[in-house]
Amino acid sequence: MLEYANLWSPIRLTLELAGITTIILLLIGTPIAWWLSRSNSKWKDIIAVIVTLPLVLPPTVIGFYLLIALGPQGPGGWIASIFGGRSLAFTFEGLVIGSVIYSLPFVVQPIRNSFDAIGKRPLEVAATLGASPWNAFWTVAVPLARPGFLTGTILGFTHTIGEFGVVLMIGGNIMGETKVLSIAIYDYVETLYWTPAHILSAGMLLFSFVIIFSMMKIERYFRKTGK
Amino acid sequence: MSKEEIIKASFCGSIDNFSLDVKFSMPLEGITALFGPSGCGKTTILRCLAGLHNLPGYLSIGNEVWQNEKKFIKTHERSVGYIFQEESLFSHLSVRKNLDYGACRAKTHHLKETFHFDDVVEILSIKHLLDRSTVSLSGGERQRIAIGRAILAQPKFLLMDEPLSALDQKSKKGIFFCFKKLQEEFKLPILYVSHDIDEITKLADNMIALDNGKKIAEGSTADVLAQLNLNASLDARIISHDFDKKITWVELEGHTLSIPLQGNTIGTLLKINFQSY
Repeated sequence: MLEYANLWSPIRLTLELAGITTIILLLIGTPIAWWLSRSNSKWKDIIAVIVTLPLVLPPTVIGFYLLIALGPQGPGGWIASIFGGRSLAFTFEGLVIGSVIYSLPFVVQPIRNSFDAIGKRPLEVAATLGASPWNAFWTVAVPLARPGFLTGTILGFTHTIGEFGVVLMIGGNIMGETKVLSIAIYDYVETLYWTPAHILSAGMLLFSFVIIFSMMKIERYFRKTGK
Repeated sequence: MSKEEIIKASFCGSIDNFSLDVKFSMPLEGITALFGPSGCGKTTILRCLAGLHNLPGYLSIGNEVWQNEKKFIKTHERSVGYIFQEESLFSHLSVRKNLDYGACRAKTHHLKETFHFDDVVEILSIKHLLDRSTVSLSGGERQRIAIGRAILAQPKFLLMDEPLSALDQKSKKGIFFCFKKLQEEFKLPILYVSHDIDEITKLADNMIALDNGKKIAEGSTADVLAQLNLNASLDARIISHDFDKKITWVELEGHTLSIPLQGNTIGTLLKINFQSY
């Protein structure tokens, strides 16, 4: 029964990883989305492509470059040395960095689309009513872009939970540190422990269904009430 | 009207291949119409006045300078209300919160609150809508709320960009009535953009006429209309001539009218101009 004892650890680790990643993504994704939506800079298209890249690149390619970047010779190793470590690869922190990059387009894209859909007008109206640009951003742009934030949050969270290739490349398989759900399931199947693999997989299936279903319900509710 | 109470503006520059070169002044009272065909720069001027565009130029309101070579006061720091052509209510806020959005950001530090919530709501007859969401409102209701919201931000004057263009006749009438009352109660100066000469004759005391980014006339509405030869003109059909009395009978919009004897044959169409004084 050894195989059941450690079922909880990957679940907790995965939720932690997805939670932290989503918060970081909202913090850095929102300004990026806003800039992409409003800027006239010539760099805009280049940045938009870079942000979208993780969407099409094979996870192994992202994982490979991240492994180099996070390793002892890369910037990740340098950062780790400040805190007395040798490398960010095969650490939880490394996983967070990888997940942020991997899930970036899933958060930035919906928020940017929402900002685009709002257009300039509501912010001009806010300005004529005495709201500073910063104030108007928080009181008008963010509330109006709520569907985009909702979609971005849920996609970022679930996409991080479903992450496999990148984690395998940079995280390895360390119990309690980098062994997330998808890796755990892979591990159980590899070693022919089908029952725990069934439990985790069915749990993921149910979880994903509930998330997407409630997202649709919430969106419909907002559209109906127009709030 | 004291001598300072006047808006002086001049803008010269171009935005998106449209070049504007105007200089005008308008009294800080009553309704002034900004008139001209589509694409003549009316909206661009309003946007410059509100600080939404930054074209080189000069702008002063009374004795406050809002824009010159050195200085450009940003939109949110100008005491000016702006009513946009299409609906502009915040869909995430209720009607009351829309009204409060302007009110709680009002620049009342230098002047006392001139326009009170209850009065504004009363005049615009939007009291029954206060706790509604903005989704189910009619076009006329939306525009009245937008006007109320702008007024509650305690502006020195209002800019209106064809606020009636998207409305049906009945809603137009309702808002016309509100404009008159706003003028009587609040004496709030309005710069009113329109390409509809009927609207202007009914509303405006003064007008500025534009064409292709340039001013072509300014002054009292009657003067400018006469100057531009822009009086209401109607088609009339000759019905008969009365050579004894030296008059011609014409039919005009279902009415019969006598005019001095014309040389044209019966059935000819004539253009008749009506001068407004």
